[in-house]
Amino acid sequence: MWAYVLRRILYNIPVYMGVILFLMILLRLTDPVTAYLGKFPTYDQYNTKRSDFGLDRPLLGDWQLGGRTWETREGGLGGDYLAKGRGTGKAHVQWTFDLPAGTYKVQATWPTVQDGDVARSVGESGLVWVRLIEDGIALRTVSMDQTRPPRSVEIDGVGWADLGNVDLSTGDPLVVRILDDSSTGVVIDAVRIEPVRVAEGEPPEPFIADTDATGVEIVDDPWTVGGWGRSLWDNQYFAALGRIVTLRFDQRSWSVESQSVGQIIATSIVPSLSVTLPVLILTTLISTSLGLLASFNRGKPLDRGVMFLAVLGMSISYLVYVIVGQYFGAQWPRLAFDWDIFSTFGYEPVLPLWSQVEQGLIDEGLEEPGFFRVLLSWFASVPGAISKWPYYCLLPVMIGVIVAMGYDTRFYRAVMVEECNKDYIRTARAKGASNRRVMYRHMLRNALIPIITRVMISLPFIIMGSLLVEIYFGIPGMGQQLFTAITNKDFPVVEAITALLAALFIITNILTDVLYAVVDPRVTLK
Amino acid sequence: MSGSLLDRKIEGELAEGKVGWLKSLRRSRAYRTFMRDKAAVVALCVIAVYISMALIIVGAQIANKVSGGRLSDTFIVKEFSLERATERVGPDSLPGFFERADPDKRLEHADYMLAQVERELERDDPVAALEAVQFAELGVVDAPIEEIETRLNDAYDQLDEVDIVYEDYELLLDDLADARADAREATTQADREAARQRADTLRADADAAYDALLAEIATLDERVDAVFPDPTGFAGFMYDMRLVLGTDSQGRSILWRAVYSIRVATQVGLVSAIIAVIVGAFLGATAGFFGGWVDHSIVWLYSTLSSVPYIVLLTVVAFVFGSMELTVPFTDGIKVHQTLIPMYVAFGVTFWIAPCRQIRGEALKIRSLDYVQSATALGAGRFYILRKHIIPNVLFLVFINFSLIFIGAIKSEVILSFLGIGVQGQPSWGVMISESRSEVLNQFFWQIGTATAFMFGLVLAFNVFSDALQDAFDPKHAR
Repeated sequence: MWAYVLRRILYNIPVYMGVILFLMILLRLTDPVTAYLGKFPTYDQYNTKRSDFGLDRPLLGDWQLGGRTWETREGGLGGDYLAKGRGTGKAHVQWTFDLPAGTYKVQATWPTVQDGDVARSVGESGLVWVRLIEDGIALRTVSMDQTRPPRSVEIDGVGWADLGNVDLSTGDPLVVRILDDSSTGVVIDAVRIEPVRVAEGEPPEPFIADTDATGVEIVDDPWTVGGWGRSLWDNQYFAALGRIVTLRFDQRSWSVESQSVGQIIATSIVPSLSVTLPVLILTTLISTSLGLLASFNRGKPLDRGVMFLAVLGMSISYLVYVIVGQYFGAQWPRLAFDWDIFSTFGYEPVLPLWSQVEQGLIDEGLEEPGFFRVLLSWFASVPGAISKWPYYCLLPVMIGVIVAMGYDTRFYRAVMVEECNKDYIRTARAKGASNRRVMYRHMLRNALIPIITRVMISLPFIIMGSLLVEIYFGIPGMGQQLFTAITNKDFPVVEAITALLAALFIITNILTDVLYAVVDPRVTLK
Repeated sequence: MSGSLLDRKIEGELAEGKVGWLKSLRRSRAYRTFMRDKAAVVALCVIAVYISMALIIVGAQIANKVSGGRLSDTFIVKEFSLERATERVGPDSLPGFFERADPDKRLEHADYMLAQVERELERDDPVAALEAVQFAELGVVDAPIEEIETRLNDAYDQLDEVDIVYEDYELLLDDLADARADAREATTQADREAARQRADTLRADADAAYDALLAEIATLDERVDAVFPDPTGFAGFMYDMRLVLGTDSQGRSILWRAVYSIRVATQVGLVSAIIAVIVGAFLGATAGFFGGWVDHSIVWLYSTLSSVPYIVLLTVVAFVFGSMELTVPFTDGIKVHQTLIPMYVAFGVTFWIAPCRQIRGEALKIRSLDYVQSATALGAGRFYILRKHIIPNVLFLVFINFSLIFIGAIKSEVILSFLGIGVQGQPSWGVMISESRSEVLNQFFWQIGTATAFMFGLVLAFNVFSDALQDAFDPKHAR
């Protein structure tokens, strides 16, 4: 049996890896950062968001890494220029000038080639970012369009692109940094500094600094240094897998910056469970009994009636049950009789979190509450918490049960009917077993496998909760959190919740297999 | 024995059989089982009605487009256009079956209609402008401008009158509430008696005031009718039909919206089911028949996809496509997220798994059956066996899954529309149900009721139909 369990676990590992890859690709079909920040974020906002979450690394290996370090090519001013393939802004070429205080105009040039009658830029990219560092701290980032030759001014037959004016105070150097943040590539030949106005004394002459001038700093992107081989393991995919395996969900949420993804998930599990666990238990109990009853009265009015109701129930939209259920369960009694039996929207923590109890004790003045002290007060708060449960959760639970019952009753009845036709039932009857004995001792035990499957399959879905019910009744469970995250484009939360749900699904899959093996000794032989 | 000889022999038999395929269908066990099920036959008729309705709507729109708008005045084209389902036809939140709306709604509507006329009268060319004021068949009276003006003024005078009466009535209601509160909170028996008597007189007054209010509103309605005469004859019938199930919160006809939604539902259901079934059947049959690494990779693919809870997958796919800036090819700049394409993709990705899984299992089973073994022994090729033995025998699964996916797509559309990532820019049952959220709180059930009833009919019919299909094809299916 252990070999069987191990085989199942091994089989599920590639499945889970595939799930994560699929989800990651799906979520990156649109740029998550642009989706979150809108269409025109500033350079720094965009790149901070990207690199904070590691989105600037390749998803899974990068085969286009060739040309992703700076290389010197022949041509241009002074005989050579620098070129680099696409990058994310982590590599740069930087000039530092010590100049007297004043205002300076900064210009840059890049090589062009004559293509027929038209001069073209050697660089292919649209926008290349240039960072002008003023006052040592204040940053200004401007872009240059390298699809065209530099054309702002032409001096001695060389075209220059204006990058703007910089105000320098005394003692500050002028720093010009050409970034590689471009999806196609970047070329840079030289920068030119032209004094506009100087605070004191004679302004210096305009001058040109080439790429091999002294003090030019050429920095490559740290992680491209290892070549494309490195990208095979240092990538987003393995980082995400690592986070899940080590259960380290400490990235900040984008929309609620004070909270980490892990905190959001942890606080939403209990609300989800307080609705969906009762739904699962009640539905399974009620519908197995109904299914059993119906299958035993096969073809009789009772069976027909139950099945007819099940089909009717299945044909109405979930949303209608929720809307109408909320109105008649909570709104209408309040309007008509002034009864406040169920809450329409909102939720109070039904079960306190461990950390909340601990914090409460610390607030009361206890320095470092011991484990048993916390456990004691946790238990003390349970009755009060549970007494609140019906007000907030009973109505959603009832709606959930009604919705799920149609499907489940039909399924369980089908299972039982199939068992009914088997030989062992006939044998049991032939030897004179009572109806009840046949039902409970023989049939139910043998029908256990499909029932277990059904229940286990619904386990991850119950964590997810009834998304609609949670949104509609304002219960801050996983479903609602995921939906809020999707509407707020809160990428880290969406990714973490979906990955976690998939993991739960896989784990329950394995558990189901193990349970099979426990319940049915024939399974391991297969 | 060569494969070709066998091929020719079987081909010949089939060619003979092909002549009477309808006959052979009629003679099949499945057909007879199905036809014996009365409920299934009724369900099939219901489905046919719905689908032909959808075809009429689509057909009318295509005809209009192809003819370059020349047919736009034809009855069918006009009635089944998107404009008809989205235009204002009467007062908002009007209850169905010609029940009177609440006094304040009626006042609001009268005010709205009169304001339309007043605005147009101030134009340079009032006659042409008034022609354009049209609530479906309801138009401004055909009279000289001066006449319309006097009628309008009369109506406005009456509106002021009603306002006064209405205010009196509301004051009385307030007094009544106060008196009742007094009666509840009174400490002595005498006080309570007095307050109660006061409440009784006030109540009688309020009832009288309400009657007076209704009478005044009736007069107002008459004067509004003088500006907007009730359409007569066929137009009157059509106008009544528009209001027969009431109007939504923007005064649009609920019946027309529900009927138009048949098209969206059928479209979503059919396209998703076709995509899902074709992909699922192809992959499932391939996996089951070829086995080996093909089987392994397909099983891996669907285990992977099914490890993401279905509603999560739906929301994520719909969300990703929603925020993509893609345009639909061959159209002038229609954005993908404004169409139904994101939903098709979402449903396609999620729904192909069930048919694939079942068909793979069935194909695996059939492959090991004796007759397939003997066909192999006779030298039949792999594709021959796939074509002649496997596909015909798994076809019933295709049909069953088709109708199950159809139901699934229609029901999921409702949830996606509620989440705001579903149908956009046109009515659908999901949109209607989501919009009726706030109406239900005001005890207005006409929109949610109509949408649910329309959807219920189609989904129930498909449920019954797929049950019957399963019974007909699968003798083991529990009955």
